[in-house]
Amino acid sequence: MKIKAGFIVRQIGENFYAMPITEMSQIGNGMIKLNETAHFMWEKLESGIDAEALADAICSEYSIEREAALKDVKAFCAKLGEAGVLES
Amino acid sequence: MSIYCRFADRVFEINNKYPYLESFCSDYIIDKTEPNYVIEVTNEEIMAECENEASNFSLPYLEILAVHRKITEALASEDCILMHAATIEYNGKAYAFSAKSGTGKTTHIMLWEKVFGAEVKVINGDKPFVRRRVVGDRTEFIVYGTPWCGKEGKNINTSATLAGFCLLERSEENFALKWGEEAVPNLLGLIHQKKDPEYIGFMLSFVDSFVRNVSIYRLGVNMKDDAAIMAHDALTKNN
Repeated sequence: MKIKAGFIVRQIGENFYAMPITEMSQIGNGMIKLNETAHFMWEKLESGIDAEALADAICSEYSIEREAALKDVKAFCAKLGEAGVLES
Repeated sequence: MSIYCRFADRVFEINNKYPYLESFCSDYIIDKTEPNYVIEVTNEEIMAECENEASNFSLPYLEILAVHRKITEALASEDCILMHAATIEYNGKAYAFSAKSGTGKTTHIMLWEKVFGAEVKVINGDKPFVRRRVVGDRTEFIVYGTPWCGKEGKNINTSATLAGFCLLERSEENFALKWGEEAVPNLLGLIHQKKDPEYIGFMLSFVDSFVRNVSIYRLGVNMKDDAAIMAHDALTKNN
């Protein structure tokens, strides 16, 4: 899985925001809000990674059970998939 | 045709096709001087404004929209952004009120005028330029009047430092809640948009400074005088 090219990501306050350069995202004005963990996943997904490897990466960065990490990864990727910003 | 105007502390030479622009900008015209920017719009750019507005507008009107767009994009390179908000000056400071169309931001600033009289001046009733300025260790935001100010035509050729920004909503009971980062999605929706990587980066950095440095409130207001009094008390208590 990989994030499609064409987003600008910046920190605003405590969170990160991804804004599309094109009209490809279907969410609101296209902006996607990312908390710290979501931003971590986003960065990994920018260069392309599968769900299992991403769950491993989360476990090595944060103290979280692998099962919970994989659940988070799947939920996040499902959201990104719905928004049309992921490619396989 | 050619006029010289000052907007947001910059000089623009505008080469216009229709004389309407000259009367529209009359309060901002200055004597000929070395411009910071030369603005000229093509027939194609004028016609492109039809896509953004109802198509029954006249060409002279569409020209002022196209000129506004070019000025907005020129100023973006100078830390200055177009924001959709009715902005007043009160006691030497600027207060901005934003809301979805039809919520009543114009009605709300008219309440301020009614209650606080001549102390309230409408800098721009709809779309002021807002400049980010770093002064020592402070970041402040300066709001500027322009003639592009909504259908009531309320504007003054002046500027003031922004002391409070409000997102208005209708409410039976008046209330003011201090907001911070929660306002980010709203703020991004109020800013002139352009699908350009450099501009988007600038816009996000601008909003980041804005939420860190400006007092932002969520204001629930009704249409009575009390709404202006409550908003006044919330906005001015720390200033």
